[in-house]
Amino acid sequence: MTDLPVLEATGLGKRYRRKWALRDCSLALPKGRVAALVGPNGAGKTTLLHLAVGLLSPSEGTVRSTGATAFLAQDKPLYRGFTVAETLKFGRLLNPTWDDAYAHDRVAALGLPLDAKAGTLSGGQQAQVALTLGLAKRPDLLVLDEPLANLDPLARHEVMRGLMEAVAETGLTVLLSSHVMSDLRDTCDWLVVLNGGRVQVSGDIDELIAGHRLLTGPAEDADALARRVEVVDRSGSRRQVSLLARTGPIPLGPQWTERPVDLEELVLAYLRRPDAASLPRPTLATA
Amino acid sequence: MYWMTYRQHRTQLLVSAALLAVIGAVLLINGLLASGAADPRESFKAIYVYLSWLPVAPIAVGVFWGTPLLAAEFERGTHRLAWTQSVSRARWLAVKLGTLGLAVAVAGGVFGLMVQAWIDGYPTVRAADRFGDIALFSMTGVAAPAWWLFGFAVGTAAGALLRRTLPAIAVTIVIFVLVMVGLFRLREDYAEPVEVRIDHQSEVPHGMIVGTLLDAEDNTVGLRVQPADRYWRFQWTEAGILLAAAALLTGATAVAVRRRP
Amino acid sequence: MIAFHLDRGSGVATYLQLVQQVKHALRLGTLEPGDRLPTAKEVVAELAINPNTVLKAYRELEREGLVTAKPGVGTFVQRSLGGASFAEHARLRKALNGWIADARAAGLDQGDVEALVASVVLDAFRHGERTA
Repeated sequence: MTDLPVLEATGLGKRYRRKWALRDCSLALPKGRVAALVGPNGAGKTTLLHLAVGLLSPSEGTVRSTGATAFLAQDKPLYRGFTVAETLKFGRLLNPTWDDAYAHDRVAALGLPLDAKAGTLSGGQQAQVALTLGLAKRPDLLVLDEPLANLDPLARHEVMRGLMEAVAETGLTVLLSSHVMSDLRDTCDWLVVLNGGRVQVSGDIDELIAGHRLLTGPAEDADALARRVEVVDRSGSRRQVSLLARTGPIPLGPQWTERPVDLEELVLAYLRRPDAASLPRPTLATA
Repeated sequence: MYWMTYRQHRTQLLVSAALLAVIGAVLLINGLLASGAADPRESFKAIYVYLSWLPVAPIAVGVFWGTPLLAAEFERGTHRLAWTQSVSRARWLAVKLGTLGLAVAVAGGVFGLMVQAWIDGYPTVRAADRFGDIALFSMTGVAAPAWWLFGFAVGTAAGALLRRTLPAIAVTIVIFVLVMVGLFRLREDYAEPVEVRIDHQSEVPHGMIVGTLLDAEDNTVGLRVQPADRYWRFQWTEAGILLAAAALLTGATAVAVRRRP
Repeated sequence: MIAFHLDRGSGVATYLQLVQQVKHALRLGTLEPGDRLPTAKEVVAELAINPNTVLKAYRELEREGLVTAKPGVGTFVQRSLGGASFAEHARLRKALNGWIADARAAGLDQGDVEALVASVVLDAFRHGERTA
């Protein structure tokens, strides 16, 4: 846990002409983590990922990754006319760290025919070929842009399983963007919420869950309570309100109930309140 | 990278080589028959009718080799696959443009030599003039590969800048035709023409005829001519203009590639 | 060997589900001291979950002294769970039977009994859960 972060962004920003796609983005991703990058469309997720893998250069700030990085772009592009075998050859010829035995074993285990053209494979199979291409580079960091989009539930499960196996095997660090929260619950242990080009949340998912509570009670006491705890989101009627607060267990009045939040509630609460933020304090190590 | 380039453009390479072979075979057969023909002029014309269209062959190079080179990658997103391997973007582009550019130049050169050899089979036919004929000039010497490279560069740049194949094809065709029409006109002025006095008995001089000299009664008394021995000087001038333009376009391509996420 | 499964709708953290399933197997005797737990990779291949979750569950079990990790070999069951002997089990079961009969006589149906038991269990062990 004393390892340097595998990916570190400091004051990172990217401007397209006059519009900032990403601004003032600082985050550190510890080694061995599987990080989910979530946020609404247009939040700058793809921009951040492209900066992380060097496809884009920053307009301001820095982004740095230790070791080799592999990238699976959105829609998992492959050369459609290449056979599976040729796609692996492409990977081998263009990457000095290529593990050819691993690549062929993985493709064989998945039952992908080597002589089939990539364009003729199903979406799930193409995703697996693309994933193999990324994994066989033996990267320290694998970045995936919407890897689960356009896949059926079974293919999503298979892709995630392949990814998780690779993490278990090699201690790979993963950063993946998605807008389907349910796919991330069991697979990710780090959360980055991006909203309007800014990082709102970055941290360990278990710690985030443990650090937030949903408090429900009468509306007239809500303001008093809000002064004691940091309220992320507030919803409810005139009589009863629910506060999603950044707090551990706290003593509450008899009319109040509290319960833990789940990941989806937490993310939605932050996305609804772009001003709220849950970021590690700069002086504290986040790992 | 070289395997990659070959594999990606295998079809274009093979089809182009086959087309060149067909053109070569037709020219060869026609040339062999010409020596025994009763009227070599008829034999020449039979092929020239078609051959005179081939100065636009570089458009095909631009459209089939140039435009998809980058636009097809951008359209399918595969450039992100290529650029996130362990080969730098600059090297990726350099190998692709270098290898394919060389192939295009060689193909254009071979085409030029074939046309030249065919012309040489008609020493007695006046129309078989590589300098005086506007089409044959573009298809022989160093101008032939230069035109092909220029077509390739236009197509590649259009694909890189527009990022989509179809519009890039349209732009390539328009730009190429404009430049061709422009250079065909400009070509007459690569050097100051020589004035040759003629009368009814004198033979028309060899070379590129660029104008007539009239007397006060509007009778033709002479011709403005670029003499035949200026062929290579004109060839290098035209090749220089085209290669400079191709270099500029390639620079634009490189900038477009560098900026593309 | 134990085969893990996930109840994705339960709201219980994944690592806790794994911990509970191991404990359950220990109580039932499906897992005995010396048995090897599946490796993180094996669990991941089965459930498609984050391997760190598996490791976290195993760390928790190790902290409770139920398993030991032998680096490079695997994670092995250290001691079984039962809390009490079979004789104790029989005695408690008998007492519970009596209580159930009492509850039914008082007019409680199965749902009422289950809710009551769950509530009492929750109250009684809440303190323990918090500190865990």
